[in-house]
Amino acid sequence: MKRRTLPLLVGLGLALAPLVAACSDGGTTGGTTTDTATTADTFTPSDDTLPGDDTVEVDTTPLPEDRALARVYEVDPVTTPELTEVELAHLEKPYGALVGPYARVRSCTLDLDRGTRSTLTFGGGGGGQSIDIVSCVPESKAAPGGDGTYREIGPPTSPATDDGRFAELMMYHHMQAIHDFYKDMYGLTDRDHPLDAVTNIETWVSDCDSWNGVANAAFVPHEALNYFATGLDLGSVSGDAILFSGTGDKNFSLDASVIYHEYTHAMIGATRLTGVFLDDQGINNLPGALNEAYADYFAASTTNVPELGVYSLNDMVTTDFCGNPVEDDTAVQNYARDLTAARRCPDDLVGEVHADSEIFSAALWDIRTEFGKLDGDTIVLYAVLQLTEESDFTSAAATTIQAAQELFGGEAEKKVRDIFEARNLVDCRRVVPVERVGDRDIPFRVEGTRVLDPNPYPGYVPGYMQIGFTVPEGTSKVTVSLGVAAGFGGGGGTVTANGVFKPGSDGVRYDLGFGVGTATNDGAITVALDNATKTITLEATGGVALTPGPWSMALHNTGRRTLRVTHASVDFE
Amino acid sequence: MLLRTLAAGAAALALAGTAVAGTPSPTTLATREAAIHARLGADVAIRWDAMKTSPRSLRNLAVPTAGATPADRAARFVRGERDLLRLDGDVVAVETRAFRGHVVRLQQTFAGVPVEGRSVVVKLDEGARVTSVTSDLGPLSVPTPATEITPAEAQAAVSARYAVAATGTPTRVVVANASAGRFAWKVPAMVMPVTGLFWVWVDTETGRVLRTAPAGSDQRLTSLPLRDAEVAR
Repeated sequence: MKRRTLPLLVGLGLALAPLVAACSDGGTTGGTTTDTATTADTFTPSDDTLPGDDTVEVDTTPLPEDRALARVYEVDPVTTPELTEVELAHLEKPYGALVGPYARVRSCTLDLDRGTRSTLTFGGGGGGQSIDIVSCVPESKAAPGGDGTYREIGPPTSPATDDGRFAELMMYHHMQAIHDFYKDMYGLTDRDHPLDAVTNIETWVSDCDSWNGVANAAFVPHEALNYFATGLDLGSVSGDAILFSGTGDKNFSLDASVIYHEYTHAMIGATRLTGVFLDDQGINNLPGALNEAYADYFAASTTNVPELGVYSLNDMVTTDFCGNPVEDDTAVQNYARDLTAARRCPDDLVGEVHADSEIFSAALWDIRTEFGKLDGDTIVLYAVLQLTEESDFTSAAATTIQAAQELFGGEAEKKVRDIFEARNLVDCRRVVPVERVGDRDIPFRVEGTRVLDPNPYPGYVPGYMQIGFTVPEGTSKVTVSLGVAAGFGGGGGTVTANGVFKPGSDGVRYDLGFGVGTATNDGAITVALDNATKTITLEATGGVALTPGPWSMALHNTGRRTLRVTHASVDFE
Repeated sequence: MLLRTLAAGAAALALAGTAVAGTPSPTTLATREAAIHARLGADVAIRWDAMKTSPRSLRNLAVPTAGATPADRAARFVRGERDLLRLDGDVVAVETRAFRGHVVRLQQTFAGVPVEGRSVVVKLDEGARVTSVTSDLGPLSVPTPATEITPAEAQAAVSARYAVAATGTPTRVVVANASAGRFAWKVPAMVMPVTGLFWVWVDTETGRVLRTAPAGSDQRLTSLPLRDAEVAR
């Protein structure tokens, strides 16, 4: 039996593509609802509770041996390679499984006999292809050794010897740390229950007779888990959960920044910053980017390292899934997210929530740098609590500026405003310079009509962003060339789309009217894309030159399939 | 709880006697702004949702409230200002957090059914006055279905279109794209245990798939694999 892994940023969808030969819809994010109200203790910042510096006195008194001691990485094996001795908080004697009032931690056992087996059938009409999959079994494995502590449990020397015990310790300790931060500092009791965490998750796939890990960790709300009558492998997961997997050489549970990130998603909840909505610029998916930005910010602020996933996301080696290569580029990749990067709106927007989040999280890190950890965290958290499902960069920036004013006065408000303005986040128009389209190797996506229903637009779907360019003096013809394909993975098919042009840098504006098919826009000229050449040509009539200066083009997808634009260029005549 | 709200919603629809609610007012933005200032105070700072002609945020408020709890106070305020906030239907409190007073998050409902992606957050100060509002609300048109498919039929529709290993029990919601809303079954769908969990919204009247989304954050699989017949379409 073999073990295989999936590479980062090449999702399971792509990895499965060779198996299923299936096309895919572009997903849109929706929210969930709950009628469970929660109330936290009161917190009011004051001079007493918000000191101006972050000095912490270290107690050097030796710890007694009858405490739940363990050795963990303070951050991860790369950033802090020496193990640190800690006391596992909130565990009651007699010590055993890592289950406390705020966490239930288990690792997944690869056991073909006990794992739940299910069948995935592709195709249909009797001619389809099926594969069997078997899920691993969540179990508690970490237990005290002869000295009554967990100190004898150390990091695995290789993936083959990873029995999950050290991953459980990392997970439990860092979950307590971030839980206590939110509760002790801000009175947030939303997670005062044993949040499920499962490490070392892998799935066995029949076609390749191997267990497959995934370079990923995720937060999954209970609404997505509890409704399965068969239970599958998740019958023992009773509420929201954070789920961790890994690659052949990296266990994501060994990275505290990833644990804090997923825990913060759980704290933000499944019904805040999850929306995708339509605004006057097209489709707005920035609430999801904000969700990622806050998860990154609080993770980085807690580790005091402004980079996420230094261990887990860097030095990623492309691999295969069930023997099928999943990437053309086999170079080692670094995907850690850097909150000190010079990201700016709209230049760095790509339409993918994790990538786009870096623009906003960088501004949040600037706030922390300006105000210090404690005051910075307080400003950011106070703002987060006031955000809705459809809050975007503009909403969140305005709310954070207001939070700074309420908490610390007019001078603080000005500083925060300046920080957001420096990254153009106060009122960013989503018009991306043409030379940046497809930048960072992430295609610029325009959803198809089959994923926007009911559709207020008459027969088309606009993109998440528009494309901007500058027309030189004396130009009478503009040709926009696109590297564009319809369907999953550029799987071919006719591209049916229009370019809607408008002078100015503000972009085409939409008015959605009231009901299906009633939307209008203020574009000056609409031109159909030439499917053969993948170009859109804007030509002035009667020999009159086009207005020089900035122009915007909105790409309207009139087909059912999602369009993926990998690059774009403009020629002027 | 759900059964109760569904029953209440059905009753509300029957009384309304119409398939569409929330016809947009012809009132101009300037008139709306004047109305907000007249009712809530001249210093109120408004940020508009240009699409919905409804306020996305109101700041510098100091509006007294009545009610037994912060959630009750916030809900009463939103209901009382439904015209200014452009609330069609009702709201239900889903979260109250104490932080310099209270922050209450409310979910919009229509005919007793949760409206996906539409919430409103009301900030109350220590004196229980509303100081700010952040809102997703806006005009909403939701046709009443002539007929409805069953939850089992919704699950079957998902399985027919997507290569999923299992589907879970559907819940009834409203899906809205701007003002255009539809009643839908929200179906949990699993492609791969643990790593491939999705929501699929299925129109309760037509059985069409309205949208899909990964369930939760950071799911590795971001799109549902279609079955061959769907790929060909």
